[in-house]
Amino acid sequence: MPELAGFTPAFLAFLRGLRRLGFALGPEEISTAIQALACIGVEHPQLARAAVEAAVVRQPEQIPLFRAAWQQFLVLIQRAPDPWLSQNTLTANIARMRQERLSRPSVIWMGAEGGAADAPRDGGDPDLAPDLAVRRGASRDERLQHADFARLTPMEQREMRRTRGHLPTPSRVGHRWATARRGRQLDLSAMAEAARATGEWYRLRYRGRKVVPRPVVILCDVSGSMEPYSRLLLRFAHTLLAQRGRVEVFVFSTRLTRITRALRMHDPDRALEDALRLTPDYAGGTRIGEAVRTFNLEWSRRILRRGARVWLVTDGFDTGAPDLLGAEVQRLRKLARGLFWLTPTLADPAYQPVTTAAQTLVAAVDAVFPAYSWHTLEQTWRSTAMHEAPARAGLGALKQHRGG
Amino acid sequence: MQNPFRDVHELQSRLAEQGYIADPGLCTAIYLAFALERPLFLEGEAGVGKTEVAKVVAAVSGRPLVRLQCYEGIDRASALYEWDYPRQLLHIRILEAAHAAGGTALDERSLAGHLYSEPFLLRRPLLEAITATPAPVLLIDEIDRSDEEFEAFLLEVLGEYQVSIPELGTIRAHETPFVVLTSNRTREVHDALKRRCLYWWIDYPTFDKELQIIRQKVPGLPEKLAAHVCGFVQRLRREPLYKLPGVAETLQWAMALEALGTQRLTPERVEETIGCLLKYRDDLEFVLRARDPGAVSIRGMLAEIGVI
Repeated sequence: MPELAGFTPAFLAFLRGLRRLGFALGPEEISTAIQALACIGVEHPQLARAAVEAAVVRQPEQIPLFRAAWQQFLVLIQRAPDPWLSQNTLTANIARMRQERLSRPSVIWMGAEGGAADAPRDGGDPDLAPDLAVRRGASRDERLQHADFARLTPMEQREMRRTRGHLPTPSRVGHRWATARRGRQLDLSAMAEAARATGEWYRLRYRGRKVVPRPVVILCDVSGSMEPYSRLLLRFAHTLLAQRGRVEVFVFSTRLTRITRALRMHDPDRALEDALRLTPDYAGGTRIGEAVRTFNLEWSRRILRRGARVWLVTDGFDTGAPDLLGAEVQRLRKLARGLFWLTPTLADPAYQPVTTAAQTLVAAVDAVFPAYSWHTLEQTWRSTAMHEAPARAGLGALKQHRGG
Repeated sequence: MQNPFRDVHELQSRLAEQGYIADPGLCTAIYLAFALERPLFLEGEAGVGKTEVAKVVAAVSGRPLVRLQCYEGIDRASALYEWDYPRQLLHIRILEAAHAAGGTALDERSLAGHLYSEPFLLRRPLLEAITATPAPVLLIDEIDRSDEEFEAFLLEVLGEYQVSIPELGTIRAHETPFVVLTSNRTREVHDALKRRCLYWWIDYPTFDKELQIIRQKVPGLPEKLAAHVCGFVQRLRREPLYKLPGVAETLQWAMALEALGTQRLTPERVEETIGCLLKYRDDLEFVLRARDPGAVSIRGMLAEIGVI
């Protein structure tokens, strides 16, 4: 370590300060960081920074935070001799920066209620607006507002408790081997193990592919027109997560938000509350195409692995460009193993997908399922779990599911 | 593990001699991995030269390269070790036959000890890397492709440089291998694994660095054209594409232009060869048609960087 008065305590204070910024630093990391700095020295500031960075940073998102903290550290060791003071000044400064980086824009625009808000505002092509735009919520503006997400009713809680643990887990045949009773390849390792006690083989064992859980990704529309159903869907997603299903939940109205972590909370009231807090555009307008595009660009490569199924839950009242929606949904279908459109509009037996968006969706997805009650969601989940080799199904599937 | 480099600058120039242009940060991380005997965990987008690091370090330090390509379902038997069961069975049969012919007596205990000994052990890359001398450079490529279960196998190997085999005991490394793990970040690798490593994120190169790489790898390209190629790729990376072109793609494109005997970059020439840079149909359409509001055509981009 450099022979600078008070350097070592200040460096330790810096590392502890990083902890407050969300870096997971145990004693081992701290000792690695000290060794790294001791090994490189501080003659070249850039190399010194790189040395500490390699030892403490674990994700690319942490890099800007670390560099800012390091900058502050350099400024502080030249001035404040007191490590306690430096630690506190340092973390306070960086914590403020972090706060600013993570905070959402504070401008809140409250749309005027009623028909006026639904008229196209941004000079877009009025033909693109769905002809059912009378429904409140197919608004083109973002409504950053908090919907009245009241506590769960006792009936809803009963429903969730009853279902929890009884939903099947979707699965697929994995790439990992396990011992099986029949198959093509002998599992000599398992046979040797079994023959240890007796020294003789009584039964042949085979190697078979292990069955592994299949992830399901739920992309849920929480725009104004979906408001009565999105709450139902989030409750259902919470139940799935509570029984440790491999489920990822995203919600979108005008932007896309990942809420899986919030929904994992055990208490459903708090989980829904947190999920809602993460979603500033709850009950706003609908831009399905853009949301799916964001998902494709930013998340699909990380989330859509291991044969994931995708539920796209929306009523198909879209105010975005239809071309974009078509292209993005088709792309999503190629990335996923089975893309299903769940729509509450199937509650009406006379429903026909007449809007452009709905027709695009019907043409692009593997199957269409109803999603207007707890019961239909359960049924859809079972079909998703069973669904093998997604067959192309257009309106035929629509008709098929309407009866049940 | 002897650190073969005096300091970071020496390492950097030795890497450059081998044709790998690395920035000081990455060199520091590599140097520390040698000095502190830690594995090096490299993350970054595809095609920024993560795998290349291991190859070049192997060449520079004069060690053999052992490569383990990860895939879903990779397990102990294919990565660490396995017992050679067919040979064991044959061996038993031979001993039995000898016994029946009135030869040697069958001693159960010594037989078991004999069957689970080194000659019947099949060494897979990880065990190979640990026991070999001189210690090799071990490349565990695309760790994000393996499943979570496999990471657990790596913990002991990377933390202690040893492998525990229940039937045989613990095999320890005499010399610490230089371990490089790479990940494209298609999923998050568990913290337990990352904790044991030094971490470095390799970003897309800056203009100067990329130009240097092109000059080094494609020396036949006219100097001015190389700068234009570099500028265009840098500009292209600012577009919202599904897959941004990496350094590998830039080099491929530069080689293509060289092979075609290009002297100047024209919109037509770019359109003809853009398949080297963009590998998705949607990206091609996005750039070639430039229909979306705010999208810039190839001509526009070339004009922006001052080529036309």
